[in-house]
Amino acid sequence: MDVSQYKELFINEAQEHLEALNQALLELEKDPGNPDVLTEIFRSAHTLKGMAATMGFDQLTELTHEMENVLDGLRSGDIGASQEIVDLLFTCFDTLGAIVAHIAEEESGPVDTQALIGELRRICEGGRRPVPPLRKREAREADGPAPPSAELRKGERRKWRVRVHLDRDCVLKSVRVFMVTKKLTALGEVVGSAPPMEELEEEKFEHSFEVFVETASEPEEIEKSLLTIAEVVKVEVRALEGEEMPAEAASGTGGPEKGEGMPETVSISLAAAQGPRPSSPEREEAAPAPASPVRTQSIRVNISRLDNLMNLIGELVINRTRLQEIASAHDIPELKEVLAQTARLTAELQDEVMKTRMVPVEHIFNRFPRMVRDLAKSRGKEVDFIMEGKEIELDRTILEEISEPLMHLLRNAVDHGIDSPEEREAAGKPRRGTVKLVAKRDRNYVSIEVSDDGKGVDFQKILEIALEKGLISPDERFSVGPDDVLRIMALPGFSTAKEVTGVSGRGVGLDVVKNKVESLGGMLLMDSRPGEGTTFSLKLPLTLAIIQALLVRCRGQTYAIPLSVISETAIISTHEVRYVSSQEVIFLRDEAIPMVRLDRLLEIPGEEAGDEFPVVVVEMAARRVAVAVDELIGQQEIVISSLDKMLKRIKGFGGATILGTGEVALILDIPSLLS
Amino acid sequence: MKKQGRPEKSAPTVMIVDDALFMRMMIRDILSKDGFEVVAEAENGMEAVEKYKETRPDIVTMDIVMPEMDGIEAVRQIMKIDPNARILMCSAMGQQPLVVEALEAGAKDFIVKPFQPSKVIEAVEKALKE
Repeated sequence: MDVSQYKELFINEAQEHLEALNQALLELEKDPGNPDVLTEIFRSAHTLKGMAATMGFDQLTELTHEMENVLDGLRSGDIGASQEIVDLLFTCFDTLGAIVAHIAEEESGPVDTQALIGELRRICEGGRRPVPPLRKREAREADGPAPPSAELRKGERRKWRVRVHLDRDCVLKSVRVFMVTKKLTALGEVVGSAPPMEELEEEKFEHSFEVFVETASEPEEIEKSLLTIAEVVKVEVRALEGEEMPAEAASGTGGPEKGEGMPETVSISLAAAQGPRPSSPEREEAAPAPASPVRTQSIRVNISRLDNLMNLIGELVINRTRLQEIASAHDIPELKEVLAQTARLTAELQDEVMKTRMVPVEHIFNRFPRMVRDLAKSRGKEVDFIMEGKEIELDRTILEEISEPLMHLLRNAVDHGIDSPEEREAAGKPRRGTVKLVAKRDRNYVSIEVSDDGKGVDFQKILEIALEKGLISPDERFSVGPDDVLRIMALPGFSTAKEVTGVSGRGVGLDVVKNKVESLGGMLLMDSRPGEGTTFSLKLPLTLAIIQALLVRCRGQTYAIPLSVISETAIISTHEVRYVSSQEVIFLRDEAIPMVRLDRLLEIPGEEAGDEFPVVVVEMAARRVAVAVDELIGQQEIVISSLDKMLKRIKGFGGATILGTGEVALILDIPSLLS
Repeated sequence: MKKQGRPEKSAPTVMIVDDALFMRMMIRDILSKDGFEVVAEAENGMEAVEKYKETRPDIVTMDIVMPEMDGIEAVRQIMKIDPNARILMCSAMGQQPLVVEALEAGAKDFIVKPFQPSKVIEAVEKALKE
């Protein structure tokens, strides 16, 4: 059958399983032998195998199958969970991930699995104890409801030779044999078979076999009963002449007297043929029956659909604003009334769609424990990794964009933040360092913190390097406060100074992180104490598509400033403006705030503002700047349209928006405008 | 009275139990193409038992290895609720002992992954005839 239509779904689900596997294995590493975790790993691997087999991805199937053998051994206790095995399993997960990625990208290049499979087999063979011959419960069950039914049958009992033909591509033939004998036992007594039962159990037959049965049932009845078994294609029933029994028949079941033992025999050898599996009590333990969890019904929706929906709602909001303007211009009360209703509905609609785009940060957080573990291991550091607030939700687009920056910060924390076990002991700290990843929801934004309890940033060292590299002038050196350190560290020139990062401790890719966060309308903050550690916080908006903004006018043009960066507005008279080393400064409640004029910033020629003009005080990375404009228009919800590639390179604009009047306003990206 | 074959008027009802959405989709497609009506889907044994009570499907396809409650335990519980339940196990290669356990618990038959549509249909129709 054509399975290509399921590919996307397969890839999605396979990746989820791999993530779950990685997580569970990390847990197992901490708590070896935890049966719940092992069961979870086993289950995930097993499901993955079934899915891969169905799709016909043989490499995946083969590797998961071998993996499952090892996992089964771990679960049954035949193989002890050693570091070696855990590492090997991690490698397996990586390889499976690589194969899935290949499938996703339709690359045909082979992924080498043979070495891994060899390793897995070696562990399996080395660790296995002989299989326990029989599970207790099966013996009990087989003893119990066997066939007293045979005796209860009325009428004359006769012996029949029943030939059963199975489908040519039947798998698990031995189970079919079991089903056939079970059905026949219900009708009478199975007295033998050809080939003998042992061979049938070992599937040493082609597509048909014979079972001899003594029963009062009619041949048609036998045939009908057996034909209800799947993959049984044909049943022939002939009378067995006299007491004549084929020689091989007796060896199979031990003769008619013991015929009722049949199901037991099958189970024993089936269990044996399959190698160890967890004994029944263990399995029951592993599958406890907790209170039924409340499940939310869900469906999968392509993200582009949600994007479209959001865009349409954006258009709707624009139209609504336009209608409102018409209504007030012509003063039509009925229209205003309807519009008030419409406004409420669109707001609700917008809210709902926004919610559908929200995804718990867990989705990306779950990738990190593995990375932190591997990195710490390779750097010889001992690190506990703690994650909090995994349930906090963010817009999917933002979430995907910050995955990389978070990875950078975590890498920095482990690589440069956390000190070596020896250094830590010398400093009187516990040998094991702690790296924390914490998500928190704060009114209109989500903050994500990456913190370590390492040695902290050496501010002095950073200044020296910045000076050396010519990133700051010697004069600046004394005016630089702790808040500016992050800005310096995130300068592109500083970041690429690879040869000194080992000393300075930080800076690897920080410019990338900062740019990314700011392009999302967020902020990057740093707090570091020598000897105690460093915390980076990302403050992110909940969503990208629709924001609250303040509309301002400057030289006849309307601009939007995202409300998230604004701390206050004020009206300033020209005589209140002071100069500090040729920089305009205003005083607000005794605080000196540098002032920039938007027209000069954007290099728009024209007349200076009058005696009094409004300023918008924006807050960025602990720095406040007053932006002077000509007029404040008001606060409004705006729909962000991103600029196309050509315009994107122009610094200072975060996008554009269409106002209710149909006018286009540029959205000011204050941090980039001022940097 | 048990159903004899498939009546023309009402399509036989099916519940699909599998922890993988992917598998459920696939079985659903196979069965609905052949005129079965999928009335419920469950992603673990516990859910399966609950939904069985609600929907009483003519036939159930049951995965074996699942979270919360595995397929075998689910068979036991469903059989307690309805001794005439028709349950088909969905097995992967190499699960003979589990399949046997499920059959002993009352499952009617089994199908093996990877699924061939014809075999799935065959097993379902045979189980319905029984």
